[in-house]
Amino acid sequence: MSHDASTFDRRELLRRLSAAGLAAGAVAAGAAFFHDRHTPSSRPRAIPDWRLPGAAGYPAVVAARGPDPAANVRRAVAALGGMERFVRPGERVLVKPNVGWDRLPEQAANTDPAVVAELVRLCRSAGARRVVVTDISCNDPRRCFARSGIAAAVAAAGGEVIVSDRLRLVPADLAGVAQGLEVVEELLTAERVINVPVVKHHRLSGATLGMKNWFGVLGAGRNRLHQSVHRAIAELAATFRPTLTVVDATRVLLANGPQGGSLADVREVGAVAAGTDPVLCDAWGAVQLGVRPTDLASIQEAAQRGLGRAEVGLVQELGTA
Amino acid sequence: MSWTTRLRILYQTFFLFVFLWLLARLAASDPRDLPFGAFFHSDPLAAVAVVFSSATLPGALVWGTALLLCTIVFGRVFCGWVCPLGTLQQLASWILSPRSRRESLAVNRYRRWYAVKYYLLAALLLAAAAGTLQTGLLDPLSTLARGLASAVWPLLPGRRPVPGGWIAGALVLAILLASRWIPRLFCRVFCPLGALLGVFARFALFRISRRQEACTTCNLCAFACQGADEPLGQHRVAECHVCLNCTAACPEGALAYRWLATTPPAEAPDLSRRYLIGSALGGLVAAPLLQVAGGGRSVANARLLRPPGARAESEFLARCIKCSLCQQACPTGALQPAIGQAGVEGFWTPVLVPRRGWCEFACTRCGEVCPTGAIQPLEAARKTGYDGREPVKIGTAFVDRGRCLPWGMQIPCIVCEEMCPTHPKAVWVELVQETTRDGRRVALQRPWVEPQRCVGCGICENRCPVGEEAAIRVLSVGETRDPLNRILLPAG
Amino acid sequence: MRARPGFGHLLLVMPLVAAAAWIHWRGTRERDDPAQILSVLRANAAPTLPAPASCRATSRSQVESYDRTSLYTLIDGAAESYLARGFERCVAALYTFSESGSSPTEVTAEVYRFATPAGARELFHEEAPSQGRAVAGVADAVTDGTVLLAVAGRDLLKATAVSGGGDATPFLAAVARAWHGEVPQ
Repeated sequence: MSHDASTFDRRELLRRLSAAGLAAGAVAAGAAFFHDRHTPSSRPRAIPDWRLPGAAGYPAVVAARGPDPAANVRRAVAALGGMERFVRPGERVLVKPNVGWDRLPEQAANTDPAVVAELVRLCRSAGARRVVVTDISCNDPRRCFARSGIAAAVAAAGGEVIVSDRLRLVPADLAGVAQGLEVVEELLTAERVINVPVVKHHRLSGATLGMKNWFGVLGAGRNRLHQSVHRAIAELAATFRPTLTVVDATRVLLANGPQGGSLADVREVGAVAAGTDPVLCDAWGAVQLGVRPTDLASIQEAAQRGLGRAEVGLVQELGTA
Repeated sequence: MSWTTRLRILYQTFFLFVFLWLLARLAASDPRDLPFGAFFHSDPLAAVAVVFSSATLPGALVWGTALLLCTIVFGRVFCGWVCPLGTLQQLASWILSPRSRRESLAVNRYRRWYAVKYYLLAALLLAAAAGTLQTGLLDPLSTLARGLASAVWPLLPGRRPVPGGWIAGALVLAILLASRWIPRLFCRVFCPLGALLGVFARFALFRISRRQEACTTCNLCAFACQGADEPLGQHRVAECHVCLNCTAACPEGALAYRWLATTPPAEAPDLSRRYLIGSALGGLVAAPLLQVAGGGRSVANARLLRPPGARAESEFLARCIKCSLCQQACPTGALQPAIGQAGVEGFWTPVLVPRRGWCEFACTRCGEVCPTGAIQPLEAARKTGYDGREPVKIGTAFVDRGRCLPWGMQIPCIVCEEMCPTHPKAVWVELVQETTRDGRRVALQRPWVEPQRCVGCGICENRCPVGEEAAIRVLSVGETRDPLNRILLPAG
Repeated sequence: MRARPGFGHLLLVMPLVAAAAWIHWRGTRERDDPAQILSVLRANAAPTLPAPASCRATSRSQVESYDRTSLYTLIDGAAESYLARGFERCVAALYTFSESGSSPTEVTAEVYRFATPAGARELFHEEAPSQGRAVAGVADAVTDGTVLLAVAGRDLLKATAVSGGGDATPFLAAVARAWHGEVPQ
């Protein structure tokens, strides 16, 4: 218990001093390291450009008509050079249909499941390693994907549906009115992106087509975009540039969109367009609704911004199968 | 009384006086650039805890690490010579309970459960690592400052009571009263700052040493020992407050505070590993529980208005040490301690209550005094938007047309528009002519709020004549610090 | 540590003295007074024109700004006398008042800021319409029904009715009142 106070051997001295020195060093080092340190974790992510370089002599947009939606998709994509032109073997593809509402395919509120499934199949044949299908629905996502038939169709075609709590949202570098909103992370990690909208009437913007389909990858706060919807649509089209746009006009919703519900508002058109010009795709979609592209402010604004052409005559119609 | 003791009492008096004086000056809106936050800047517990909770050491808190270095050299001199709450406890002990020699010996014995403060420290630090900073609740400097701000200053003439202030005052009172039974009970048992210093004091190069041959085992050294660190037995350097009462009391001169004195091998605090791990895990588990108990962390609370310059809620809660300096700095008394609005983990964090005060348009006092940067300092030109960018907003005002005099009662009023400080005013009026019930023609100026311009300062709600539930109220939506708590699209 | 007063004790009092001296030194500096800062910020901010709703106008054109070099594009030769009196910058816009049943009245409004209130005043007296009357509710303002001039601090307001014919006093006065109400004090 007692201790000797006066004599102190060198080893004890050294031990004592070095222990204190180490402790002091650790404190000083910690202070220096952490001093005003900024954690870069929440830096907004940039949106990649998924377009292919060069037009390579193919038409910008083609449209196929016929009773079988899957066949229409095949013909349209073949006329553009085949899916091999867009998807390289081993790539990760994200297919973005419109699965916003808890509706049956007949009600034309979501993209036709056969169209989505065919695209998944084509991507897989072209050698894609993984094909993900996703959308942030307005109704409960599991019901939407089930009721629309897309969940079953995609699974059968070898794709993967990812929804709700399995989706991660990350801050993204979005300009303009969408500033501050988050984006689905799966989208940012995909190498190729295919936008597959359905053609519908929309009470606020006139029509909801391909450019407006990008609302579905945005997180909370997208409900504010309606305050300036035409500008929002054009800005989103400028931000998200997919590899391929496939417009589903198998059935179109002529009135009471975007939700619809009544079969009386649905017209069977039986056409599918595909192309690399998103504005032209939307213009063609508008015509299927019986709306003039010049009447849609979002198409005009997008054309003015140089995002594409709005003259529907440029679309190459492949005719009826 | 030896000169050493006199010197220590001088130090304690000086720092207690300075602490009280600085806080009093701050609460009185003293125009001088006094170092109001000096004590908190040198608070090592705040420094270490903020590093745990937000992985960064805000610039001013570097002095806290300097104090840690000082502790590594000299031991817990802060506790014995500086800490104002410690000084007050000693005063309380001396006033409330004169003791016989025998009693003094008994109460100043070390007890096993004095190790609780280390378990508390572990729990608090792990909770901080999990994202919720609660060290401020027990930090002696924050505790004393809170008690003064919420319970003592409001008693002065011309001041209004702070809702819930009695809680802070009761805590300080309880701490002081506890010294009647065991002197400096809080310091010995609960103080996490003392525990942190104790962890580093084990390396102390200066410490109490005893010359065995001179010691007569008279126990005089233990009568006045403040830290209960047993100078006669195994001197626990981690508990020693360096009060030097023992060296002064020893008639044989056997005890001395010396450089590189030898001590028994057991230098570290006497802790049970099981309890330590248990309390650490407890802190880790308690953190998410605290976070889900209400508050604005995941979903913005409409009435949780934070000071201008406050960080986003989760970062704010990871930095606020509940010192209440901002509440005292606010010249209009707008900042009040949150009781329930910010959830359990936000207890005693600052919230702006427009009915109590408003945020003066170009005032940036709260950010100037915040020691941890939970409220970031702002330039007046940045806050007001006179630098050309959007002003800093803490919310948006909404007119309740059912309660508003010109809207709902055909009675003229114009107070909110008159008071609105923005330029052009966010509250603007529309002139209408109406006929009242008894046939009179009355000209009414009806207020509208332009949400893009409103900064949420609350002066409109503060001055609205329609009682405590005013006819124009500020809600947190639109606040700059949260990009998701918005109504409007970004400007431009 | 010896029990007697010694050099060591004296040395240890030094930190207290240093702390007291430092606090005292900090006390010799003053913090910025928010009220003062605000008035400085307001004085340095650009002059503004009132929103159309504040003057009960139907619409207002885009606000254009002019500085010392571009002033002549707005008022041509008259720019000389403005510059001589310390003109700094100005903002201008066109207000349209459409009332049902009558043709719309258009009022151009310009606010000129000068380096000193004296400069603004000189120009006010120089350009005030000769047959002018005071304007109710606005101090230092005169109008003759077509042109209105008002001065407040370093700012000069000039409002001119450019179409609609007749006495445009109510419209000019509305613009002047709204502007005056928003001038920082």
